[in-house]
Amino acid sequence: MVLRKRYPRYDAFLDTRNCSSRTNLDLTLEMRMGFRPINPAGGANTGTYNDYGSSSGTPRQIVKWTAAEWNAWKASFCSSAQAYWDAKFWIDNRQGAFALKVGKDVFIPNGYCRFKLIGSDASAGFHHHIIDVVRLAPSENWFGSHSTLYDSKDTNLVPKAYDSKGKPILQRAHVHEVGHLLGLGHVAIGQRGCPVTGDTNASPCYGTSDQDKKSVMGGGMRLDTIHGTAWLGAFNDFVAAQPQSPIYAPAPAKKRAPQVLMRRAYPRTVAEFEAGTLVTKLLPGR
Amino acid sequence: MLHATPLGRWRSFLTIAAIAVAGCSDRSAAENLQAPAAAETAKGAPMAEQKCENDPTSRSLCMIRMILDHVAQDPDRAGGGISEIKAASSTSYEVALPKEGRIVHRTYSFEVKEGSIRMNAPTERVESF
Ligand SMILES: [Zn+2]
Repeated sequence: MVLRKRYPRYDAFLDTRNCSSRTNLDLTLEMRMGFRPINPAGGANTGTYNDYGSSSGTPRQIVKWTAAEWNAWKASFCSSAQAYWDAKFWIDNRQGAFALKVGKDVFIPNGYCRFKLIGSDASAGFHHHIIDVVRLAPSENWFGSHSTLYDSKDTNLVPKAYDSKGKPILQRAHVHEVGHLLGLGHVAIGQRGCPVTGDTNASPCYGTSDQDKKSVMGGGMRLDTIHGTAWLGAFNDFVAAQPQSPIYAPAPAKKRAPQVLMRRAYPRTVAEFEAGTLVTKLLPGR
Repeated sequence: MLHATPLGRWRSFLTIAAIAVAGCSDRSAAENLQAPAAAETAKGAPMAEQKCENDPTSRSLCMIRMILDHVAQDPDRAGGGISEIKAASSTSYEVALPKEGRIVHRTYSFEVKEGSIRMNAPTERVESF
C-alpha cells in the first residue's frame, strides 16, 4: 500500500510494501525545489548583487553561472541536503496502525523517515519552493541570503556562531534552510528574548546557550527529535485517515501519541506493542 | 540606572569590561531589548570607559574604537561583518551587522564627560528579510 498526501511544503508518502517482521514502513517526504540562477546585469560575466536582494543591502561581487557550474551546484545542493535529512528519524507507531500479518503473527511497523529532495530549474515543472541563487565571486566569502535567495557558497561549512569558550560553531547554511522549508523554526523560539509573537529571526532565536546554538536550527549541525516534526505530522495525518484495520485494532487504552525517535525501532508484535516495548535490537528468528 | 533585563552573559561582559577599556559581550537580546548590565552598572562597574580628548574627532574615534572592540569580542559575531556605522547623534552610533536572513541594527550610546566617555549597554533591533 502506498498512500500520498500533499502539503504546501512537500508531499508525503507512506509505503508499506516492504514491511515485514523486521522492516518498517517508509514515510517519505518529497520536496521539489525549483532553482533560478541570478546572473550579473546586462549579460556581463561579473557584476554585483546586494545582500538579501535588497536595495539597502551591501553589494557583493557575483559571477555569471556557466551551465556546468549551475548543474553541479544544484546536484551538490540536493544530494548533500538530502543526505543530511534522510534516514535520521523513526516514528514510534504508538497508534498500532498499519498492522500486517507475517505467517500467523501480527506485526506493527514503525515509520522510517526518508527525505527526497528533487531540484531542477524553476522554469519547468511543479515545485514546492522557488529559490534564486547567486554565484559569488571567489573573493567573496559571505552573502546575505534569505529563505528564497541563496548563494553558491551556502553549501560550505562555515562559522555561524561561537560557543561560550569562543570556539566557532560551524554550519552548512543550506541544511538549516531546508529545515525551514520542512516547517521548522529557530531553536529558541518561545524562550527569553524570542517570543513566539515577535520577530523569530531576532538574534536570541538562534540560541543563547551552547546547546541551542549547536542545533541545526540555531547555528550548528546537530539534529534533535524535534526536527522530525514534519514526518510526525504526516504520520498522524495518515493514521487519522485510515479505516480501522481488519488485522489489528488496539483498544483505545493501548494507544498513545506517536513519537519521533532518533534510533531504529523494529516492528513489534501485538504483545510487545501492548506492553509498550520498544524493539531496538532484532530478536533471534525475527 | 537600573534596567530590568540583565542576561547572564552580560555579567561576563561586565567583568571583562571592568578590566579592559572596551568591553566584551555578545549582543543584547531581541528587538529593542535594553542590553543588560544594569545591575552591575548600578554597583559601579562601567560598561566600558575610556579617557578621551574633548574635541569631536577624538570623541568619535574613541567611540568607534570602543564599538569595534565590542563587536570583535561578540560571541555571536559570525555573519557578514559590519555593513554600516552611522552617527545617530553626537553621542550615539547605529551599527549594522548583516547575518543570514536579517540585519542586526545595534545602537551604541555614550555618556560624555570632561576627558572621558562611557559606553552604555547597546540595544538592538532586527530587520528581517
Ligand atoms: Zn533560519
